Amino acid sequence: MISVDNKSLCEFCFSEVDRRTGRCLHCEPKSNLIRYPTSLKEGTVLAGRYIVGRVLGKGGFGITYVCFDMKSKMRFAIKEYFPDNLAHRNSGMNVVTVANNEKGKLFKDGARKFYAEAKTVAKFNGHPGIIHVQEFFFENNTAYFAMEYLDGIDLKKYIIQNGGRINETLAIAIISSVADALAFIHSKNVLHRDISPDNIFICSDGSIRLIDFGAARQVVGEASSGLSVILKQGFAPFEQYQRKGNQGPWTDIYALGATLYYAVTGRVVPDAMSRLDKSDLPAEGLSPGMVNLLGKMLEVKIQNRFQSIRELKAALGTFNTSGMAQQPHNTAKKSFCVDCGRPIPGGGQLCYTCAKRRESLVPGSGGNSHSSGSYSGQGNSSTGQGSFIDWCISFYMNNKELTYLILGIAGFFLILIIALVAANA
Amino acid sequence: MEFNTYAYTNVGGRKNNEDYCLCKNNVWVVCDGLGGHDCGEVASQTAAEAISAYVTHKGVNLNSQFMSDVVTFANLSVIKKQKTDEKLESMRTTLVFAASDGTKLRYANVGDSRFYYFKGGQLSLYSEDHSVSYASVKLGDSSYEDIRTDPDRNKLIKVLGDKEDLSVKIPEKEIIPERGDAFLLCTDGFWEYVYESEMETDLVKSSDAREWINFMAKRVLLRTKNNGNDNFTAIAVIVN
Repeated sequence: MISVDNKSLCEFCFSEVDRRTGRCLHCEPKSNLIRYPTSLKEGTVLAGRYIVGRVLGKGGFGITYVCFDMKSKMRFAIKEYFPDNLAHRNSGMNVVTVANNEKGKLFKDGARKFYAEAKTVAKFNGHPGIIHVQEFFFENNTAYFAMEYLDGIDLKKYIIQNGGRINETLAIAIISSVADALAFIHSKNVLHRDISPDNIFICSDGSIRLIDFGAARQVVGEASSGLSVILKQGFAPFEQYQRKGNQGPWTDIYALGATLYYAVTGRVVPDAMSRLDKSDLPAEGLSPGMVNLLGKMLEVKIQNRFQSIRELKAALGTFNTSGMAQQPHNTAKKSFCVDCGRPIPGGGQLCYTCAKRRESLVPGSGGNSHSSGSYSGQGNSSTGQGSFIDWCISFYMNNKELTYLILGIAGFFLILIIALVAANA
Repeated sequence: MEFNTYAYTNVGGRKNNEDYCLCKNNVWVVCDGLGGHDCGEVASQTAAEAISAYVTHKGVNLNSQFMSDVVTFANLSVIKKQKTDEKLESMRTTLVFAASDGTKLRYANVGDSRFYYFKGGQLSLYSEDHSVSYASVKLGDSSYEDIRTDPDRNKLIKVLGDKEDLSVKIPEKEIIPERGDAFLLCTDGFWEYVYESEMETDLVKSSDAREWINFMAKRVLLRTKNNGNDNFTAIAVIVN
C-alpha cells in the first residue's frame, strides 16, 4: 500500500483501497495477479517518477505494467521493450541483459525502433481514437514509453466475453471507428503495422482507442542473414513479412479485415501461404454483405485490396447485410433500421434514435454525449412503432436536401397564398 | 526396381552440423535444423528418426493419409522432445522425405528443404518451399530463380516443431519411377549453390548416385570455400 495525498493506494494497481479493511478489491486474491520471472518487481521506480505496479500484459516483444506517476499523481501504463527470444533479466535485477552477438544487435535495433515509434505516436496525441503517449525513455538497457491508462477491455477479451463472436452491426461500428483513427495516421504517412483485436481498446465510456503501434515486430521479423527462422503469421498481410514488401495503407486495411473476420467468426484468418492456393475464407454464418466486404479487405494480392481508408469507408458507409452496395439514400424507397427494424422513410440504414446511440460509440463524430439527453427519443421508441415526430426527424436526418426542397416549395406557395389573399382583400 | 542411393552431408562453414539425413527400406529423409533457433541438430535428428521408426512399424503405404500421418508424427515427435528440456523449447526443423513401395514413389516436404525429380536427364518436378520467397513467386512478385538471392529466403512459413496443428498440403502426384530416372532430396544449403540446370548436367555425366552427388558437392565447395556458409546435405537416388 502507498499513501498519496491522504489516500491509500494499492501497490499493485494503484486503485484506492477499501478504507475499512485496507484491501484492494481489484487485486484480491493476490494469487490472481499475473507475474513473470522476467518482469520488473512491484515498487521499482522508472525515470525517477513512475512506480511500477502489476503486469497488465506480456507479448512476444514487450511487457506492459500499470504505474503510478509521483509527479502528476495519476496512473499510466508503461510498456517495456522486452523481446522474449533476445532479452533476459536475472532475478532481482532491473537491467535487461542481451547477448553480444547477432541477437544482441537485433535487440538494440529493436529498442531504437521501439523508441522512435513511441515518438511518432506521440505526434498523434489529441486524436480521440489513438492512445495518448506521455513520455518515452531509455533505462535498464532497454526502452520504455508511458501512455494513458485506459479503463476498459481490449477487443479480443470483449469478443471472448461475448461468446466468442459479436454481431456484424457492432463489429462494423467498431471497425469504422478504428478506420477513422487509421485515416488520420495514414494522412501523416505513418502505418500502424500491428492492427489486431489485442490492439483495439474499448474504453468503459464506449470510446475506441487504437494502441500498440508494433514497430518492434518489424525488426525481429527480419531474419539475420544465413539463419532460418519461422515466422509468426497472424493478422498481418503477406507484404509485411517481405524485407522489401510494398507496405502502405492497404497493409493496415488487411489487418483490420482480419480483425473484423475474427470479431464476427471467432476465428483467425488462415495464414497467407494457405490462402495463395485457395483464397476463399470459411464464411459460415456471415451475411453476403460481410463476405463481400471481408473478401475485399483480405485480398492476398495488394492490387485487389482496398487501397486506402477512404475507399474502405465508402464501402463501410454503404454496408448492409445483403450486399456491398445498397440503394442511394435519397430515393423514395422505404428501408428499415438495421438495429431496431423500424421503417425509415426515404431510405437509410439507421433511424434517428439508433444513429444517435451509435454516435456515442464513435469518438470525434460530433455526436452528443450521454449526458446531453440525446436519448429522449428512446422514451417514445419504447412504446413500439415510433411517434410522428420521430418519423419526421428520421426523414430529415436521412434526406436533408429533399427536406430543404420541400420546405422551400411549401414556403413559396405559402407566400403566394398570402399574396393572393391580400390582393383579394 | 532398385534404387542406387548416396547420402552426403557437410558442415560447411558452421561450427556444428544441424542437418540430418537417413535412408532405410526405400524411405529417404533429409532434415535441416533451423539456425535461427537453438538445438537445430536435435530437432532434425528427432524428426528423421521418428519417420524411420514410424515406417518400420507401419510399413510403407503411399496413400495421402499415410504421407500426412508421417508428417504429423514427425512434427509431434519434435514437439514432444521440446518439452523434455528447456533448452530444446525453441528448436525447429525442416523436412523432406520420399517413400517407395517398389512400384510407385511419393514425397512430402515442410519448410525449404527440397525434392527434385528427373526424367530422361531433365528436371520434371520439384517441391514447393514454405517460405516467404516462394510465396512471392506464387504471387508473381519474383521468379523461381530469384529465390537464391532473395533477402527473405530464410524466413520460413511452415516447419516441424512450431505448432501441433501443422497442416501441410501433400502433393497428390504418384510418381512411377522408370529406369534412368533420378531424384534428389536436399537442404537449402545445397540447392542454394547448385542451379537446376547444373543438377541435370551433372546427372547426365554420372554413372551412379555417388558420382552425381560428388559433382554437385564440388560446385558448392568451390562457390563457398566454406566461407561461413550453411551446412549442406543431399541424398541422390538413381533408379536402376
